Amino acid sequence: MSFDYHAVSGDYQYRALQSGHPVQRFWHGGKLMMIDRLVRPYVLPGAHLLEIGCGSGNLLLQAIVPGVVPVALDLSRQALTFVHGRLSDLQARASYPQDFLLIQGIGEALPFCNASFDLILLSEVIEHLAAPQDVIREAARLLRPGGRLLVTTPNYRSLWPLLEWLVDRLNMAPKMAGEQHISRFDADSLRLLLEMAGLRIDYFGSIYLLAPFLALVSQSLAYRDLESELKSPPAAGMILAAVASKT
Amino acid sequence: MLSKDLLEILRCPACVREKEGLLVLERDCWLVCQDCGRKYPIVDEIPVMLIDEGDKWIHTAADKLPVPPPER
Repeated sequence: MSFDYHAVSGDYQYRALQSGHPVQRFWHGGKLMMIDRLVRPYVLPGAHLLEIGCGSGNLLLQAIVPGVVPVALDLSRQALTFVHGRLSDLQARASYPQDFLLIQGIGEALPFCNASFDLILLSEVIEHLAAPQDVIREAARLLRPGGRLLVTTPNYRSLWPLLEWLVDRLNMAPKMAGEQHISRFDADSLRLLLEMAGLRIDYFGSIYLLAPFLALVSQSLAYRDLESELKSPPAAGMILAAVASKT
Repeated sequence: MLSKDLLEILRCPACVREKEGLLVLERDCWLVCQDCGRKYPIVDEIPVMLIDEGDKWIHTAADKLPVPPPER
């Protein structure tokens, strides 16, 4: 039986970021640093930015700068309603984004015309899909020439399977192994997936080798470690991160 | 209120890879595909762009679509 994503609270990732266990808080907070380092340099005013599988919108909101047009897509209505509230609050507080759009949809059949986005975020989505190549092919279709796609996914050639087992055993998150996570990647298979879609890989590495464990000691130590992991990615970090562009 | 500019990039998810999949806004809360006739509701400002949702309304005439659309 497939996992019921409608059973996951719309603010799940937001709550994990704000008030989770120290490792969980860092796990979600570190992604914001990743957005700052790997995505923000390419976010220019006027850019159309899509997050596929936005969850509670942590990454999308981190990537927004004035003048950007954000589009959030998710299957979960609860998540979209939560993100609608966050974007409306941002609009009221900072007077941007001027326009935004929320779409209930799935990544394998994206409801947009070709070449409609400058940046696409696809963070921890492909492992949830039976045919992950479909969403990558769709993302490539939607990118404008020169547009970039950020993909992250757990690295099964790392300590990730052990952590996944532990988190499942302790019920710290909605069950992952075999339920949410049905496709498994390592560096070679992720590279292949991107290259098969005709994308050029601009950045490729893994993060979260030691940083999440350091969060048990100190959040600032963990963030310092992540900063260096992002600059010189280790081979066996628990999360694979790639930025690929359409030529 | 949904932005007209942003609605312009929306297409029918069933048709866009093969055809145009252009959508026309009907009664301010439905998007109707000009190729296949699937109809996608906009519920609380969020378009429901799921092919199975569009299928449900494919044989309903545009002037018979419920306003507001039912919650899923």
